Amino acid sequence: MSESRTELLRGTLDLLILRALTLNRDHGVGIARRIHQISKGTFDVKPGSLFPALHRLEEKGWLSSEWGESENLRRAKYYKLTKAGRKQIQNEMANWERVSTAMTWAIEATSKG
Amino acid sequence: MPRIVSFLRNSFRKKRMEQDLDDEIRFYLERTAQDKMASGMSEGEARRAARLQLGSVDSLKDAVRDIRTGAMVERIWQDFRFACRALRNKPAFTAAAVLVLALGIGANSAVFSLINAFLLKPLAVTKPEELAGLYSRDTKNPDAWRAFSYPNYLDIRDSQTAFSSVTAHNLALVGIKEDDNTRRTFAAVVSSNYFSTLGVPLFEGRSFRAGEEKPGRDLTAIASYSFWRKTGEDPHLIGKHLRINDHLFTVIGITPKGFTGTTVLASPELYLPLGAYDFVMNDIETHGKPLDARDNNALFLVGRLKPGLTLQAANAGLAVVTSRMGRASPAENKNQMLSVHPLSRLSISTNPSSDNDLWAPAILLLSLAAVVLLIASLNLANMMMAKGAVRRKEIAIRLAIGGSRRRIVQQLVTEGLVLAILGGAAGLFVASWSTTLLIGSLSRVAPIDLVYDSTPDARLLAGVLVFCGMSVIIFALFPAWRLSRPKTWHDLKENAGEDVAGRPRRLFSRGNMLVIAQLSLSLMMLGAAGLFIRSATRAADVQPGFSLDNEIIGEVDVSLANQDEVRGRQAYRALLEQLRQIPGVQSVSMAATVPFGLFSLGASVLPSTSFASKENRPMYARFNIVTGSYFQTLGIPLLRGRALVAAENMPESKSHVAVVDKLAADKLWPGGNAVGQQIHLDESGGGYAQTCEIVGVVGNVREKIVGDEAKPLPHVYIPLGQHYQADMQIHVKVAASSRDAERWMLDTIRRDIRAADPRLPLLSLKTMRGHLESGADIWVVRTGAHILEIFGGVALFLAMIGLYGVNAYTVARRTREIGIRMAIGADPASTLRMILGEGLRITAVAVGLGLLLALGIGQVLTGFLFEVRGIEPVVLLVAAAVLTAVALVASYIPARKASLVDPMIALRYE
Repeated sequence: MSESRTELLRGTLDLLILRALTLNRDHGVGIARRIHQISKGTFDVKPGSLFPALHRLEEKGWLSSEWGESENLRRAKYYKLTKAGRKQIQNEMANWERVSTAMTWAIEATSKG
Repeated sequence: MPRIVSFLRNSFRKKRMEQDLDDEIRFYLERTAQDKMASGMSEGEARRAARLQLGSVDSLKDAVRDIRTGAMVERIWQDFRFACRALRNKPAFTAAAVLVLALGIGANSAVFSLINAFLLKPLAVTKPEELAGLYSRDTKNPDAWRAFSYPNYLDIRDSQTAFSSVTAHNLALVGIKEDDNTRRTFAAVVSSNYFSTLGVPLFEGRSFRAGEEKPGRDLTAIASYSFWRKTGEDPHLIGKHLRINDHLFTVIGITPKGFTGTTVLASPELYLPLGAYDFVMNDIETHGKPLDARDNNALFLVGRLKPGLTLQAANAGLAVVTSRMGRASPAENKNQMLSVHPLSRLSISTNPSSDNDLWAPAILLLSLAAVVLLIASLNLANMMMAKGAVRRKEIAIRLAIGGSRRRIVQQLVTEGLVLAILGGAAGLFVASWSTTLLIGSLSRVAPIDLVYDSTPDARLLAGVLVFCGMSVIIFALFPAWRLSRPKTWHDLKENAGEDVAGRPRRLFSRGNMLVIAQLSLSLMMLGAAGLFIRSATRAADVQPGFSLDNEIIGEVDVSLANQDEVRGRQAYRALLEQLRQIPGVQSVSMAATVPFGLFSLGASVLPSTSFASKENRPMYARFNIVTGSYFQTLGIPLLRGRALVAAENMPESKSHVAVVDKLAADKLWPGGNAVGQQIHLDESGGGYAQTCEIVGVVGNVREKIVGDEAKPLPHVYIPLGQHYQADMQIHVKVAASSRDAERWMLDTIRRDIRAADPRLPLLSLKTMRGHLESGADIWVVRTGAHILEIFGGVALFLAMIGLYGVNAYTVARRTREIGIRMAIGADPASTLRMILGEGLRITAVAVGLGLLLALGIGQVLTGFLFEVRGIEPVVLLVAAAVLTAVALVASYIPARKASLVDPMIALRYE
């Protein structure tokens, strides 16, 4: 678990969180673990950025939260996607597509110099 | 911004959010630690590692909080902008809504402004809560309170008490010479530490010096701010001379703006040092005693409590002072006990009095104003529902795609809040304008300067916000809640506006209920207004027991011309003689007080038969000093015995006689004959104490219409010869005459009085009816009726708009249905009847309900009315008729529009 392995681009974290919740609801620890997993260990989200992001997404109406019992019967706050959130994944993905293509072009252009 | 954020953070759901966040973080820690233990760490290590991974909890929390509050601010701002845009797009609706709210909130703000001015706003002095009044009561007779003599004041001032400072004051009605006229005005006569005790720095000039408490040759005066304003803000007022009661005073200072002494609203125009007391104090107060007499209880005391001390502590401390004073001068101070009480805001009195009496009418007025606001809000709720109906589809779509109901409600309520704030702002203008007008009208009948500042203060603004909030709940929250109900199947249909089954609207549909509520509440207001109007008419027609027509009264005061008793008596005798010579004058007389006047005298009366027995408590009676032909001049009937005779006007007459009215005679000797009986009279305040023989019984006289003394009081009259007073009222009875003749008579009397003695100031001269009309009593009753008329009118106006709106809306919604009806043969007349009938059915229900409400409010109002019972059939009938007539008009216009529907156009509608 190396520190700050990859700096998350602004906006990327939102997409990662939304992706992590596509299948089912989850709590903060679970979401962080899932992001770690789906990015094949590249991204390690720290609570300092995870929680503010979760609350921000909830305020935007893309996530909703509810209190439930965790696997080990503890009270945990679960987040899940809202309808608007599902739609937002498409937007974010298209966005990311554009950014990454543009970045690739930019890098290639520079290296060809 | 950070301040706003933290404010919002504090005010909105803070606790719950914080708790949730704590729980969330705790779960994260536990869970992470568990994972680490599962991968082989010891419990302690795992916990430490988890904590390390979490980082700073505080900065994490801060970040989350900022997001939450930021989002909320953003949302509020968004809603606010949306609301503003929505309202701008519908200027007609917005204008109507703001007007309706301005009326409703304006009525409440106006009443609240008055309550604020009279009862809430702190005195314009430093730390008014530290001020308290000192009072002295007779331990043997707990009802007998008295003021303080100057020597007693000095003793108290110089004693160790809970007060850091004690000041003494009283009001004098003085005559100030302006050009050729002498104007009556109130001057406060105050100790030299008055302004320093109150903590009021003068606007300009200097305060009184200790030496000015002693009578001296160099008299000084401090002018009030409004006196200075009346001089045209004379920059050289300080140093100028004023002629007050024929003495020259030098102006040395001007009080600050808004300062009104120890009472609110009413302000003396001048402040004079105690040294001026002997020159200016009215003999009605002093009974001829000088200031430094220990038995002249002439001063009211106000103390400033030392910081942190309570009234109880002050009371305890005064016990020592009381007993020392009792020992030092037992003759004057025996059986007296000092006590400290909160100051009354409205009166200066020998006994501690609270202003709580004013709360009953205040709350009544506020409740009636609240009804107006309720009607306004119901009216607006209907408008919002109608407007919302148009937006139903939009709302249904938003709900269907997952918009939260709360968001939608929040948005609609924000729109309501914006409207309410606009209405509240307009209402503040209404309030400021109307209360200034009202106080202006009051100041025309008030004998004293009224200082009223209509600028809203924090209390008024808070009050207005409360009114706004209450109206928003009714006109925005409630419709928003209804409109956002998830009933999408219905609202998404093509013609959501039209009725599902095509039936006419039910009588008790929601919109109709709102209108019925408005109509019946406005009928209640009309009923209340009717009762007050009737009460005012009765008050104007009051039969006071003396004649109101062909009577002229004037006020003179020889002491203002610096004349003593001997010269004064001569002057008055000559004056009466001269007036009697005027052709058309039937009878002339003088009296110490006039009914419905500024001053009244009182005396305790004890019949001689019960002198011995201590059981009998004396009867309180109104006391008057009159000249011989008083009863004849005022048309008060002589019932038994004889009236007073001219000889008894002279001090040389040694007999002690009195005339009582029937009320007094019946109270003292029920069923017996009062004439020939002896009574002992003791004037309140200690001016006159004598045993007199009753020589006659006269008819009862009423001196007040409103207030505690509205019920008739017993009266005792003694002749001028027995007791002198310098300030006298001239009564002249003239032959019945035209207006012109009356004016000529007034001019002649004025000329004659001036001719009799050019130095004798004539303070007022008017007809008795004019005196009554310009009095505070009639003003109170009339103004009460006017306020209620306005409330009733506004209520009726709003209800009419409400009924019209609902009818017009119904007709608009049913245009197609009406078209079909007419296409298959209904004629315009039957259509008109149908729509009119619906309006009338609503009205009928409302009148029924409203009559019940009016009966109810009549019961509540009984105590505030003059000779009017709570149930007055005429009032109810008229109110119901007015409402029905207005409702007819409001129903007729849309009904007529419906009857003119062209079937061909109607069927193509939409």
